[in-house]
Amino acid sequence: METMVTQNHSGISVHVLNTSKFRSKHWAMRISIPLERQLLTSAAVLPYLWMEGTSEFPSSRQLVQRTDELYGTVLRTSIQKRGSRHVMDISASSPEELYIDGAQALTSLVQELLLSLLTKPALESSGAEFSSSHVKRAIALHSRRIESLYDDKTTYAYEQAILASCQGLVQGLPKYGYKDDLDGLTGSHLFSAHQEVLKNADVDFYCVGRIPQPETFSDQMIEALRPHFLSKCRQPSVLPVDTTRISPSTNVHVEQQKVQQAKLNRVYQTNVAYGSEDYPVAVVMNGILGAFPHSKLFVNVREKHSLAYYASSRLEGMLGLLVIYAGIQPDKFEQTQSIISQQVEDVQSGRVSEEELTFTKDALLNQFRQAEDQPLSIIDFHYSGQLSGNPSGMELFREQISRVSVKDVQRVAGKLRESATYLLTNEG
Amino acid sequence: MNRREYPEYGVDWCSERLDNGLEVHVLEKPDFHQIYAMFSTRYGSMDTRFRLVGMNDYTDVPDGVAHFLEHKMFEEPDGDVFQQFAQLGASANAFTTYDQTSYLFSSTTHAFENMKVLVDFVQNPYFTEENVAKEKGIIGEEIRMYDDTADWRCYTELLRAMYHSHPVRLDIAGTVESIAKITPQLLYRCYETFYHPANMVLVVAGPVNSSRVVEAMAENQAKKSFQPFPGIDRDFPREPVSVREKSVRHNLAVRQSRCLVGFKEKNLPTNGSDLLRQELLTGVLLDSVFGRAGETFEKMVDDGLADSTFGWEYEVTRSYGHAILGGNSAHPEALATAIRQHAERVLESGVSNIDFERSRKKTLGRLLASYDGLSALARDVTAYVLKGTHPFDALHVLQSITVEEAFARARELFGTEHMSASYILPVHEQAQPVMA
Repeated sequence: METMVTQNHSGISVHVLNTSKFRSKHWAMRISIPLERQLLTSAAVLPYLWMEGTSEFPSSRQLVQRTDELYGTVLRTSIQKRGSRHVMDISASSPEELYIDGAQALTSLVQELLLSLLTKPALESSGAEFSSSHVKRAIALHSRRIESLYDDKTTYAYEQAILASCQGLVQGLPKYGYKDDLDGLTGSHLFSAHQEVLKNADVDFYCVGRIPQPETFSDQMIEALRPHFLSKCRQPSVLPVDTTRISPSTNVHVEQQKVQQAKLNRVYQTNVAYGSEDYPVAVVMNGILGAFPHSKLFVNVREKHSLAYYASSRLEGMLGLLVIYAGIQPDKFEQTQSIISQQVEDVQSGRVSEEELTFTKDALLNQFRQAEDQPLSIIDFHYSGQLSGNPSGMELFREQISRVSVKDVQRVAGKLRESATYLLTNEG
Repeated sequence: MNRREYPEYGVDWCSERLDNGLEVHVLEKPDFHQIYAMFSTRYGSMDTRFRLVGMNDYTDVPDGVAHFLEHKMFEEPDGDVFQQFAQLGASANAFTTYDQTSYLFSSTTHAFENMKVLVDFVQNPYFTEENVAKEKGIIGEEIRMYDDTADWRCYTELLRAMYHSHPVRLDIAGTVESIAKITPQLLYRCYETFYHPANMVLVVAGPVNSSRVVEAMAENQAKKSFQPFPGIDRDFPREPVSVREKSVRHNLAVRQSRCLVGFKEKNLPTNGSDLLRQELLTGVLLDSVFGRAGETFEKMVDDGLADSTFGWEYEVTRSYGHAILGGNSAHPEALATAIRQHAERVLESGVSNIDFERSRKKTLGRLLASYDGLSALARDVTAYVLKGTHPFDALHVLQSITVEEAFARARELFGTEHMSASYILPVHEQAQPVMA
């Protein structure tokens, strides 16, 4: 496999993976700032506001017409939360120009368009505020985006559990910000937020695909980004939630809605930082507990007791949390709780068979080898390394996974502290 | 053996029909790590009344049997198939649609061993009173999960409104009540009808040698014996062109309303190549008329009727077909009105050539880029083969469709007499009066 080549300049990093494996090309620009209350909602609106138009394509519709013309190039923006960072993402993908007659300039046109979202936004004539019609649209749509979080019950319950575990910390801020903030946002507020982001953000620019001269490409990209991103150095690495600031709790937060199925979510603090030595062990521990159909949760909650269709666990590496979640009948809450507790205790006391360990490691190695076939996974994995200040490659990570023993798992599981349980259930 | 290179997709394709009728397609992607295989039968939730050709009586089955069978295939006398895949470092899964059931694995090692596990477990049913009873709890939770999922509910309620009697109106997983009636005997009956190799297709994609895959599968199948396949009679009730209900409303615990509008297909294709052409042509039509690059979508957003969840899809088979449009909406009934009015406008003013060409270009580019994902590649090839079309004809067909055909398609598809709307509204909220 070809390797990612990185070039740095101040707060800017350009990462290029030149490969002829794909028939498509992928770009991602990840712009990260510290999560904080003050800028929260503005920063969350910005990526979507950028998609309302640029000076050259001054409406969302004209922008879409442009990307459709560029052979259905997918251009999208989003806001993400990665631990204590708020990350604005612009990404694009297009078919490889080499295989389409008459598409020679496709790559450079897509790149130009992607950069222009940030560098040539559509402004009012004053030059100091975003177009007011764009702002109006973006805010209306963002308000609906926030509202719709409530509608997907599985995700909603999961998020509520995380928020309950991070109360009072920046990690507990919602990624889309607050609906109440939206009313006060104007074109000039948002434009100053935009400038503040450009001044302080770390930016990672990725390109994966056929790039004949990767060095020249990186040089050009740094030259293109430098005048806009002014930060002199990269920000410190992301750390897990400071567990000294939240007290472990076995309290159950209950919310009632008119639903058929209850959603049980239990959160543990792992006390393991992403990128630390113990991180691969935590990944294996999570696999044994609940990431696969051979895992303890699936086997016991679903297969043995027929209590759920899904019963899984997920590691929130950047937060240092592990979340267990299952969809169950409301009257089966107590029974499910005790089965879950038993599974966690089993891992903590080392009741893990050789088979469970091997199955889990093989399944993880399979996942991480497959990730190399997926441009977006390659970028995501690399970016997590960037954020945590530990950009060890996927190969090293796989090696670390394959060395994990039951004793390691037991030791890391011993650090788990229950931090919140959230139950969304029916109105009974 | 059929064989051809498709450099535009980076795929070498090869296919062979084995002696027992099983079709095998291999898609070589030499630079990839992943091996993705999918074993499918032409059998889905809409096959509720059927018989083998030559038999006197039809069998009627409760809703949700095909999906129940899919779950139960994973159980073997010596344990759970997931464990066998786990031993070989593979992850396995399965899904059921209205007209297809597929079993799949994804791995990066042990390609041939995994293929053998896949084919062997699907060809070895094991149903007992006990394991059938156990599954009812699990599938019951799956059904309840979907009942709480607003987008899915809006979609299935729309199908129920559009169709009078065609079984596409039934939920794929059935209901808690209907699955209660399922027995091991019933599962065996369905299995024996639909899981004959001649009714199935195996697709393998990844860094594999196609001749070796075909050989290994031929050898595997030669060891098993099957009765000759007489063919399957599916009895679908006569479905009128009109819709059953113009609109339906349901309340759920959501903050945002949903609106989906469906146009029921009058013109059902009778062969694979017509089906492919109609599917691609209608897709380009819908994108050029209702896509995000159009004035109508822009206006619907400006008027607060639509947001970024707005989308469309088109599905057509030999026995049913429909186009569905919509998404979240603050004014769901006004959105349905806007969709209907725009469809009527298109019938008067035609389809713009500029929009059509742009949509064609977009669809073409998206198709080319999508086959970098092995699961998308294997799923598409499977679906095309099951529908009786050549798996790589889409590009060529896309290049040949015309704006005149698209307009003719619009005249067939857009008509208020075969249009339904489905609304999901927040609990305690009644439908708003039409604003537009």
